[in-house]
Amino acid sequence: MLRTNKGQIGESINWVVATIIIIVVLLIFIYVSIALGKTKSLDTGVKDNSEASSIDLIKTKTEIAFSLKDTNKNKIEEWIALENENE
Amino acid sequence: MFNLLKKDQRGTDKILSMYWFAILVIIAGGVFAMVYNFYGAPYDIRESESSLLANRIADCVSQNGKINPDFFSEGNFNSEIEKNILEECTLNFNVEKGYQNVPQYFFEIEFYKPEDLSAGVFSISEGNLNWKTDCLIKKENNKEYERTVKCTERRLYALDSGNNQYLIKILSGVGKSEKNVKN
Repeated sequence: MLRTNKGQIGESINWVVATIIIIVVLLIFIYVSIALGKTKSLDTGVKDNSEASSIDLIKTKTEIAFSLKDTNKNKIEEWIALENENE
Repeated sequence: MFNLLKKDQRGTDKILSMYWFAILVIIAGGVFAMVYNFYGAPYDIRESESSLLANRIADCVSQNGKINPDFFSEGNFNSEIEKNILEECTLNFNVEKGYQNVPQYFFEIEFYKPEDLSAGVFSISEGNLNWKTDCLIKKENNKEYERTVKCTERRLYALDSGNNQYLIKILSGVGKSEKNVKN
């Protein structure tokens, strides 16, 4: 009878430990899901910063204007390169 | 003795099935919490929105390298344009219910001459300009920064009808932090 009790206690401890592990793992996953949820954002690619930018509408407008008149080109390009410098 | 053990076994099975049920409920609750937290968090689309607004304004101001002639009157900048800039650019700042108390958008267009880039020759603005100073806040990874207005600054070059050169700075911003940032 005593032996049976010992076995039952040992088995119960296993289940308690297993439960704790399950709860801890769940809490970690919940924390990660909250952290990932906060980083969700949409990037539509409206502004392409890459060198081979072909879809930037505003850059295209500037290029068209340069094709009409390109006096002070370097000065203008330097000024345009300063956009978003505060970010 | 055998009967006693059998009874014990029956009790253990009952407790074990209750335990499994409890575990099942905990795991289901955990999965629900994970899905709710991830998909319940709003998408922050304000940066894209302000970028689209800046693009739309640029489209309105400059076409084919030339500044929209409506911005000029008798060779000078048309000061009347500011009054109907939204109609001119086919824009509206209408927002959903609950966000109407404070204007949620703003933009500013500044024109410079290449000869003097320190001072603009003309500017037009519309919307909630109180938020303009928030655009100067450096990017930080904290809740306060997340709640500030999201801005886009774009610069372009265009000519007027007399081929005079102008540099145009467009600053656009979108508020709506309640809708885009999780509390």
